[in-house]
Amino acid sequence: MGESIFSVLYKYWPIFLRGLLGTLEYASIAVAIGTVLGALIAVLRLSKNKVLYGISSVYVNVLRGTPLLVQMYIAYFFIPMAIPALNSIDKVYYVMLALILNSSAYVAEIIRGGINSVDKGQTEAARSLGMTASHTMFRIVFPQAIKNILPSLGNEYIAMIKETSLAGTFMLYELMYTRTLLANKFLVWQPLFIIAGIYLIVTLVLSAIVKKMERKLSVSD
Amino acid sequence: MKNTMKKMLAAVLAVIMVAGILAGCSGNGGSKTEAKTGKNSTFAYLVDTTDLEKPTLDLSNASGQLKKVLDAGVLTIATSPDYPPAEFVTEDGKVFGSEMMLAKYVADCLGVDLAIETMDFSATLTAVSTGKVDIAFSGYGWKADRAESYELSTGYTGGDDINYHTLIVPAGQEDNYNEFTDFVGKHIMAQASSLQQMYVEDQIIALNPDGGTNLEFVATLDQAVLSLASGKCDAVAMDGSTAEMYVEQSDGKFALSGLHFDLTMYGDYEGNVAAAKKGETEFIAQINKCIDMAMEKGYYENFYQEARKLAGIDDEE
Repeated sequence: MGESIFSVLYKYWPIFLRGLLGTLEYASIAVAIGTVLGALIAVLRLSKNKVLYGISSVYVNVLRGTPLLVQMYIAYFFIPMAIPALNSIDKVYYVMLALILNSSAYVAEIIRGGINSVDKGQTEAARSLGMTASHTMFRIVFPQAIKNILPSLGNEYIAMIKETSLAGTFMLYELMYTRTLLANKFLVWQPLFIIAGIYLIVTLVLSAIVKKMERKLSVSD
Repeated sequence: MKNTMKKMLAAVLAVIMVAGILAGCSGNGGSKTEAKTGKNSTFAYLVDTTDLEKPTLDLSNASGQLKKVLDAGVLTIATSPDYPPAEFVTEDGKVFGSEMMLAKYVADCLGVDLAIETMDFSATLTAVSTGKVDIAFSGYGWKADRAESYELSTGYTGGDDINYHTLIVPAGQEDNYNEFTDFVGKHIMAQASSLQQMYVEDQIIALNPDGGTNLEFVATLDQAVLSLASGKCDAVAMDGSTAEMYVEQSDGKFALSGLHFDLTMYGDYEGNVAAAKKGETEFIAQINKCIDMAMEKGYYENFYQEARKLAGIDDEE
């Protein structure tokens, strides 16, 4: 019924392009900052200090155990409620905050998992050769762990590209938001297929890159 | 191995940076739907209300939300811009619509700026309760349970002949529906908590509560339209402007039922209402004065007609 998918794409491609750029922007920022934050959390998670370990565990479990959409709602509505002075801040920052924190929790687990995946014998051998603990971590363990971490980070980026579609709930300009824009022009079904197609192409391309990266990293094994 | 690793790392960083830079071109403009409109500035999408007559408001003893608005010099409203011609966004993220023009008029009456926060329909009332915004204009209808939880304004409508509410049905079946009783026992869809939900409940289901009428709610109207197209339901209730557009877009698959819901039975609450936090009676009383004036002078009717043109429902003259 109505216009074909192709005529909608032809007519409104700038909207979809802008939506895609928005999606990539939000996902990139979330994963980039989330990675830095996640690395810090991972250090705490690996710490022998019970308090630091406990705090970081709660952080990771809460953020991974609750839906991102709920986190966005809480960030958007309840932070300014607690601190009224923040009410004038643009909503993009609240939504980004939720995306970054959510991503950091997943990245923390990726890094922790990567480091734990390195055989214990490596650490023991390095230490018995007289290397210090930090030397062991950065010269021996981490270079091996990164082979597991990098592809997983790529996958986290792919996942985040899909997750940012929730930002459309708050009318941020990303791919899913183009649906709202075009529904206003009474185009209801065509945008869905176009959006799905764009997501699919982007994630397939990125998956291929991650696969290639994985292969190259495993050469030294 | 070390070199490969460095290369990979560089590649990943490069991808992220390029994506960031590319996205930077798109800017945050789209996300900044908050359209602060200075008192003296006129935006194409908002009506110039400077020459419109305004009610005399006694704001000297303002308290509560009203005082907050006056002190801040900004009336912040929430809306879900997916309901043309009442509220909708254009490709560059600007918010248009008859309710937005009304909100601008109200802000002008109070002598403050207008800021518009856009969000999903389900979030708009949360925004009011949490104090994120002062008031929400988002195509609400007056409903008893809503009136219990929020302070609702008086109703406003863009004129009975164009601002009507109806049902659309698959083409060819419109002749089967000559009065509302013909819809009893049918599967009807309407947007959850919309005006049309109330109309179907009061004017179709109430005709015969045991008639087996199945009223199903959808989050957004496009879901209902897709259901109608795929034969999942018999009819969709919606406002007249939207119905006309969907029928036009459908290439002859849909038709207007020709029946208009009776709005007069709702008295003062005929049409749409705005929602403020419960207990803010003084605030809503002042806003009602503005809305009354906009209705009395025919301003809202004019806003509605302008908005229909902007939304592409009526051709520009």
